[in-house]
Amino acid sequence: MSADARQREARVATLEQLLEVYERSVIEQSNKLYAEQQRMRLQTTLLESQGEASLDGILSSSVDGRILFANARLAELWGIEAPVIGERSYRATLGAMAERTADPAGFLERAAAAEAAQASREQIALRDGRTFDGYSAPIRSHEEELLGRVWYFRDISAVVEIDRMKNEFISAVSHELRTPLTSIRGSLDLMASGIAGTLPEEALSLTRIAQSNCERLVRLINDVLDIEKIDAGRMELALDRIVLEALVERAVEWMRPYAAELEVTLHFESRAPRALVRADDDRLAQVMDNLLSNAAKFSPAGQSVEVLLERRGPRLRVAVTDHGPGIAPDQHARVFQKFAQLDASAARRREGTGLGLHIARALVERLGGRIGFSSEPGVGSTFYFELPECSA
Amino acid sequence: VFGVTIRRIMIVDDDEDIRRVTALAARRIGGWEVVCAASGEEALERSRSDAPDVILLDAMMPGLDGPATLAKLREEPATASIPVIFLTARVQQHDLARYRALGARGVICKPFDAAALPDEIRRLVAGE
Repeated sequence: MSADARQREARVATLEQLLEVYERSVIEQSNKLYAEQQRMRLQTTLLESQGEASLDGILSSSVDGRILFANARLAELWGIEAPVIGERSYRATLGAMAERTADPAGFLERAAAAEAAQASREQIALRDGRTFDGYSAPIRSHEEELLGRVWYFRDISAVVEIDRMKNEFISAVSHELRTPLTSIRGSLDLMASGIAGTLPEEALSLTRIAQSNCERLVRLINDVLDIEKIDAGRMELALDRIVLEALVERAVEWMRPYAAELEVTLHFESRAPRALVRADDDRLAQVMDNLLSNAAKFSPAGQSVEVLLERRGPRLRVAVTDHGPGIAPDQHARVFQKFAQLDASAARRREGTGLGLHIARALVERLGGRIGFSSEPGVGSTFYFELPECSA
Repeated sequence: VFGVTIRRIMIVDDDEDIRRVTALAARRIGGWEVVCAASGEEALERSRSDAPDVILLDAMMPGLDGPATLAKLREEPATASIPVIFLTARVQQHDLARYRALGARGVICKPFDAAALPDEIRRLVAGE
């Protein structure tokens, strides 16, 4: 074989080798591509099935207003024609939805505002009486690039209806209870007043027991009604500019006879005379009543309760300090919860409803303030609330 | 000072027990003559015949309710100026405001302190 021929043979062999390597690489690549394609297909199927299986109506849109995804449930919930994916129909779809809400302009306004926001959530009232929970969030790439927005709509009409029925029921029962209580309380009051004849001492003391428990029942009904109003967002406030010192003074005077029965004295010190807050007089008095009666109830006989009004930056603080047994640290989280009477054995009068502090907190927060406490077992507790001071 | 003398009070409530207890308080503690009515319709009739100095009017009654009764009382010259105080088992702010807007002299919430009721009525009628 000539040198030439050998050289050619060697070159062919090299080429064949290369070809083989190349082929293998192509096969490998195409296998990978196929696997990747399969994975993508599975992902898409998964996403679509998940979207379709959802009880929520789902709508995803791109930043340029195309529809990326919409499930059948969306069209069904809203009673609109199924949006066509990819079409520039996102605005039209929102528009069709808006027409079905009780407040179309508001819906579109909030939808536009939501687009600027991170995530948004709102309850949407529909014209036909249904209520939807609407939730939306931005869709971003891994590189944080904004790609669009996804909306979820859930029909919560049943929940809203049950809640309304619950509140209506509580309200109706509470009002119904007042009618028989009026006769019971009235009869007891008149018996105790002696106008129906002088009662023997024991009968009088029994009448007083019935009277005070009747009053407790009235308080419970009032508290339950307050809670219902707070929960339903129907707590009405008559806001006025109030001299806080005068209100606290009045509440302290009002509580004095009750405290005296328990042999507890009340001291009031004001370091912010004439300072004003914007509040509901009756409701704030209710908060004061609650803090003062708690302090008196948990004070040992012969002790005092100190009430201090002072400025704390832009706020006014009213603090009520007792020298009672204090609250154990593991109970702190429960103090403001509903029906959270802590260790009631520490109270010398068990006539609370367990709702007072819960209501007090809701009221103070509605008035734009905050309520809190500090307590040391064996030393006592200080409950306080703070409200923004308003200018004269 | 504008003094108000109450000689006769009318108590309007569809609940008989409430009428009896309230009437007892009005008679024995208030020292007043008492006329009772079990409905708004009866109240209209008796307010003409008995000319009470003040009317204690239950807000929620079947048939002619408190506000409707008050409106009718106001239409008639003979009863138009009789002070009316509502009795109510509802304590909503907007109800209270509505009753005052209707021309009620005051509102007393159920269940009230019966022994203190006559003083409360005097205070409301005097416009304090």
